[in-house]
Amino acid sequence: MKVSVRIRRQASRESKPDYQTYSVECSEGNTILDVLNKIQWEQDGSLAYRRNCRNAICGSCAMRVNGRAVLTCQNLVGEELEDQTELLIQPLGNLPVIKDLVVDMTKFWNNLKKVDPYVSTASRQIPEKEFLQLPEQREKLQSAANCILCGACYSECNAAAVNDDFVGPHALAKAYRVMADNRDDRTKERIEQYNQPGGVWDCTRCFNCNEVCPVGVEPLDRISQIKQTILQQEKMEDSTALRHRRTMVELVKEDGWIDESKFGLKVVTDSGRDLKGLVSLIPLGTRMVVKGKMPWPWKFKPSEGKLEIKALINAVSQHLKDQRKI
Amino acid sequence: MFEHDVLIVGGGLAGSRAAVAIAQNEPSLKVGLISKVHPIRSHSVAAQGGMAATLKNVDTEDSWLAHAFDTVKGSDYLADQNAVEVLTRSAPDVIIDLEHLGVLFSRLEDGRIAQRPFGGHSYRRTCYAADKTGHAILHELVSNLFRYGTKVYLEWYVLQLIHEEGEVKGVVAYCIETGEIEVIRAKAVLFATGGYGRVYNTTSNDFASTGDGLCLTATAGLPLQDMEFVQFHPTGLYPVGVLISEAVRGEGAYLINDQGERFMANYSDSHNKMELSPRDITSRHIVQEVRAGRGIKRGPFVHLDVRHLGREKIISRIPFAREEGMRLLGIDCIDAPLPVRPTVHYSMGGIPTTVDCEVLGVDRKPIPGFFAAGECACVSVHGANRLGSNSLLECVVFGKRAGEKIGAYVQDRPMPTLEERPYVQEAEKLIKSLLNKKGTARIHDIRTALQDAMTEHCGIYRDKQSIQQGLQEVQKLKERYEKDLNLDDRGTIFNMELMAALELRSLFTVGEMILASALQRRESRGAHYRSDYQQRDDAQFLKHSLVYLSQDKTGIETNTCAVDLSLQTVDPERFIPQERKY
Repeated sequence: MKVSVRIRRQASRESKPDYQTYSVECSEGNTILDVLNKIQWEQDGSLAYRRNCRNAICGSCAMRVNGRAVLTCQNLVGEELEDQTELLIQPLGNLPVIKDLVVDMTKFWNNLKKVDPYVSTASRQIPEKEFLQLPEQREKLQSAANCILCGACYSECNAAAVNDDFVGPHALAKAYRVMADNRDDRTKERIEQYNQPGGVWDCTRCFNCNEVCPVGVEPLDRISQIKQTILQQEKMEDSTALRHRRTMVELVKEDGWIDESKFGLKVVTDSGRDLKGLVSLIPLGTRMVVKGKMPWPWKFKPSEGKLEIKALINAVSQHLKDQRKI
Repeated sequence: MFEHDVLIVGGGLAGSRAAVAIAQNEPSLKVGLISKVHPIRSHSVAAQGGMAATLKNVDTEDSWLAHAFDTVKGSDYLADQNAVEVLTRSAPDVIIDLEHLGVLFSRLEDGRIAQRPFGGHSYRRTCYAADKTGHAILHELVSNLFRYGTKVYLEWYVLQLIHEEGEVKGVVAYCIETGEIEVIRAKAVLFATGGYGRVYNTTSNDFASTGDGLCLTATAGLPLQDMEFVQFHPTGLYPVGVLISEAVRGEGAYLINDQGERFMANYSDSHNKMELSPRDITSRHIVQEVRAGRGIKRGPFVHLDVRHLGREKIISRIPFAREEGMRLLGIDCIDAPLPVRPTVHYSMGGIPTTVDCEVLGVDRKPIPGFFAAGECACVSVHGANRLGSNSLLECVVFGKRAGEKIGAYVQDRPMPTLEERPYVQEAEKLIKSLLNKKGTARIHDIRTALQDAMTEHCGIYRDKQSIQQGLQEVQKLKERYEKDLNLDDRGTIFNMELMAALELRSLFTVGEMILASALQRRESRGAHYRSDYQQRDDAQFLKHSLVYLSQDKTGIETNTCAVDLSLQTVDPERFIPQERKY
């Protein structure tokens, strides 16, 4: 069958992007990568993209197809054309384009380095034989370890799009993989590290990474696992993210829902103790007053079901405490 | 001009392992690693089955000597026994090293590393990470490159090995993104450039496996060894050629012909080991079945059947193989057999080295400043046929060893002196001449013709006539490349066509070296099967073959050198060459 393929072309980092449409003879069972190869080999040798293993393991050929990131050697023409008449192929998002479909992944790699992505056994007594790792201990690392570092998740990450400091889903999936490894001896430092700005709390939980990951890493789930580990720490240094979580529970427990006037002050200004935080609220506060959106404390009314809600929260926290004892 | 104490070319298992070894032992050394793809994209990442080592976690009576014997026998007695001794004795330690680096091996119930059977191995000694062993190891090694801050030249291509005054002094390199040309000078250069599967039309290898390191070595006037031994893996998925891991047969898969028979039972050299016979034998029998009209529906493939293993075992032990079948053919191997045929998989030959990874010249003396390890090297631990699970092992054993030896070697070697300008000028001239190619032939057409010619004339079966025809066809294609090639892309920013044109030079050189070596070996041994000389001939050919460009670089010359048989003194009964029966 003849397929129309529309490709985003860009001659260099500085050039303006443009679209070019090719007509390709292929079958439904061909991969998207087969189609790109056919274009490059038979029609236009100037088309640039990355490829290597053509077997979904090297991670070279992630691109956007019909608007979302996929491994082009994994997705078939038939699947992609189900509700489209044409294939649209673009480079990965959130990374600068070098040429056509080739992106500069420097930031992606640097972000990975930030999480110290290796298992540390330095302080352990290195045995002559292997460290023991039970099949169930290994199993819980499996999905994170499936990562091929293709960049699909990073391309679609909403947090990375707006927050320059966010290390990205790939880095945090790797962070979980090393942190949860029973052989790693830096768990404490890692929990501290991933709790910092740029770490797990900067994720916006948009779910895109889970949607596009071609090898079942489900980075969002790994991020949630790191968060759980952080929250289970008894003695964590206070941070905005932790206060956010704690304050939310406290306020709901007190009134059944959130008193917005207290929430901002408690979380951002640490109940007035953090002067810098307090100052940072002034512009927003002013705008809210002007627009008539300030939640004045005297306008707040507790929920009618507040006692019931309090009982529920107490029951859940008791249950969690009991579980931890086991 | 850039400078490094050590420059490693290639970032796969051997190159990365060497870099990590140097960083660990000699942290003050300035190491550079150059690769045309990101190290994590190297073909090592695709290795599936595993890595052999006598950990004795499952079979306690196993020993390094048993592993050595299996390897030597598998090699059809062409492996150097001193090198095999190093390989098999070091194996348990290098596995433990990797485990301590964090590699996620599959485990036994008690938490120790699991081991499984593999073709040609007499005990269960293959350590693995499900069927993504290369991925598990390479990702940890590359993480450690990050950890040690190794300087990586990402997506740079080596145009020339600087070999002058009898020593290696560095390389000329080309930046794929910018077109920049640089001379990189180094006290030692390590080639870890991998194999050349792309010389053939059906291969399990990735697109980057174009034999560049072998071509650069040959072009520098240095020899290549045992190039006629090309491993065809029996179970390439038909028609794409990607690998269905030997682990699948290790777990108990059957090979079935059109009559529903497990045909391996019908051949005298495979009826004992059946599907777990070595790769050369299994590949030949598949081709024999196909030629006898017993391919599935008379087609060019047979069936690999795992249905009897049951859903649970398939999902837990060979998930990747299942995924490949579903993704590429829409076949779920839980319900239906997979179509397979032999696919070019591995290069036994390569750059001759000592057991300390020093590259040997035509006179069999080490070339100062030049080392090689991994698939591009020929130590030789695989001889005429490699056993499964021995290649990852080779990469890690000799990668580590190269790192250690080089770390010590460069301590009292001065930085070589060289004049940069002529090298840069020559490289610029080369790039310019390629960018100016305005003929009528597309690269893809010439490359495909070369791959078809090599497959047709120097495949699983070959004879004098076919090889000579192959040589003629390659010659014609080379002329066509020189005179009639056309490039669409004349720019210098990420020009993939230019890269393909450079890689095609490698394919030509490697192809010619394979043909010339195959022509002079008038016997059948391991993966090299001559229809006109069907017997092994130890009297004449229990020797390594060497192939190199003539002094004026216009012709190809061949020579031979002796095979090391030193384990004979340890165990004469087994290590003296004898008929290879399974």
